[in-house]
Amino acid sequence: MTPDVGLLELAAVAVLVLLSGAIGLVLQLGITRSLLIAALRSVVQLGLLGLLLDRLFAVEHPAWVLLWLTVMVVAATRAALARPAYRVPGAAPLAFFGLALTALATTFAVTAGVLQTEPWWQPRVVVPLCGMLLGNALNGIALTLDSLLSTLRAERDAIELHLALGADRQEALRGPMRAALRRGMTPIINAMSVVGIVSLPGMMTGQILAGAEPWQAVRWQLVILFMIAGATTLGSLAVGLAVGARVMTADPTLRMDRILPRDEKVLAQTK
Amino acid sequence: MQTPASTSAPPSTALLAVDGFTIAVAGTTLLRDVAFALQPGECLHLRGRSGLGKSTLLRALVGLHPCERGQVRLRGLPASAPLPLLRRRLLLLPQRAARLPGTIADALGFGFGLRIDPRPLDRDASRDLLDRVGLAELPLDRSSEGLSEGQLQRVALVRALLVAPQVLLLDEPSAALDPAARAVVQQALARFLADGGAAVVVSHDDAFVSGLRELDPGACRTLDLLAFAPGAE
Repeated sequence: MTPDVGLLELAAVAVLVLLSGAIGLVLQLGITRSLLIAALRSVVQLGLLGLLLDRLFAVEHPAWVLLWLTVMVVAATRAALARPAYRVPGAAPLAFFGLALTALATTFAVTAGVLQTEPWWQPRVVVPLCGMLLGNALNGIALTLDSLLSTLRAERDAIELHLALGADRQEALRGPMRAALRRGMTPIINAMSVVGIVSLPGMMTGQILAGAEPWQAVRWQLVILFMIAGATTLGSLAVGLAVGARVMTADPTLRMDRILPRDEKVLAQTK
Repeated sequence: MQTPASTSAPPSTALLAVDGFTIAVAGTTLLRDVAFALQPGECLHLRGRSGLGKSTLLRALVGLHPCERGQVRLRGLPASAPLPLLRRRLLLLPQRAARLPGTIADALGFGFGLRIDPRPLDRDASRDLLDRVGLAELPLDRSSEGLSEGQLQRVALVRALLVAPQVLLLDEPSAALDPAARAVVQQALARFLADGGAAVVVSHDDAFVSGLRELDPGACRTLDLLAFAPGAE
């Protein structure tokens, strides 16, 4: 078994950060301050997370697990909607429900149906799984949204021509949606292709360091990867459809006034 | 988009009847209470200075731009008909011909295989119509990459004619055409009108409209939209 990391050991490793800061100072990189603040933030944030997780695991109540998951989904929704170059007013609640449904359904389907944890909302399993799922899936979802909104802006003439020819909402959105989903799925396909060759997954590394058998760690890693692939697809589809329904009405009409460049929000806030 | 006709209004016998149509952009009214009617074979030339809202009016007639109030009635189409059905029969040909990927057949087929009209593209009819607009030299399987604006505009017209709408809404149909291409497009439109269609043409090109009028005297009227601009009365 690997030894526990005590505070002394942690402080010893933190010397590496101080060394990096010193190099930054000597070479006048201008990043020393940011580096130290970032390192401090990671200590505080992860420390708080550790405390809260400790409480959550000790209490073991489904209401607290649900609250924790809700906060994670809210954060993931905000992150997914904040990255694309365009924003859609009113899309956040739809995206939240799309993401919540996907992440929770994927997580619980695996914990209850496949792993058969007892109880099925076991926080020690559900919280880390759902967290890894959301953290990775939101990259794909953000890419999907970015592609969808950029395509709708760039190919407005062709989409409106399709509508003018009698296309319904689904037909008019099919091309942009397909391109967007392909783009959203690319990272997880790439990740699965090179895992174990180019990249050594953090979770697997962590499990092996914590003393797990390599085969067990590999299986867990595969569970996670497959869950991420499923959640990315379902989440991208759910959020893409939700946002698509905001920008293309059912009658159907393309509402370009609902696709705003992100800068406009910044401008509006500074007015 | 369409609103039920008032019970007090007499039933319209026109092919296309537009009544009380008001459009605005960003809260500013551009045109108020636009009204006109078209019979089969008729062409209406909408005239007005740039920025008056001519293109926006055409887009609003088919619900691509919201209308503040007013109604559009097409003969044989109930007021409650879904927008795709209205658009199929009241077909807008935008000023900017979209560049679509793929072949000429793909560009023409963009209007087919839809839920509203699942028919595949009629390749024979496509060749006939390409010939009619002076594009006989374009094989259907040629890539549409590299087509000039004028060629694109005529391919778009062929696509519209293949759909066979009741009324064509044409936004600057001669903007990218040379004199020879303009003449064949005029003839194609005159034939569409002679076959019982109707057209609304927005154009700054008076020569194009007068050429159309010469081909079919009496069929083409002009409506000055300035009369519907706020403050014009």
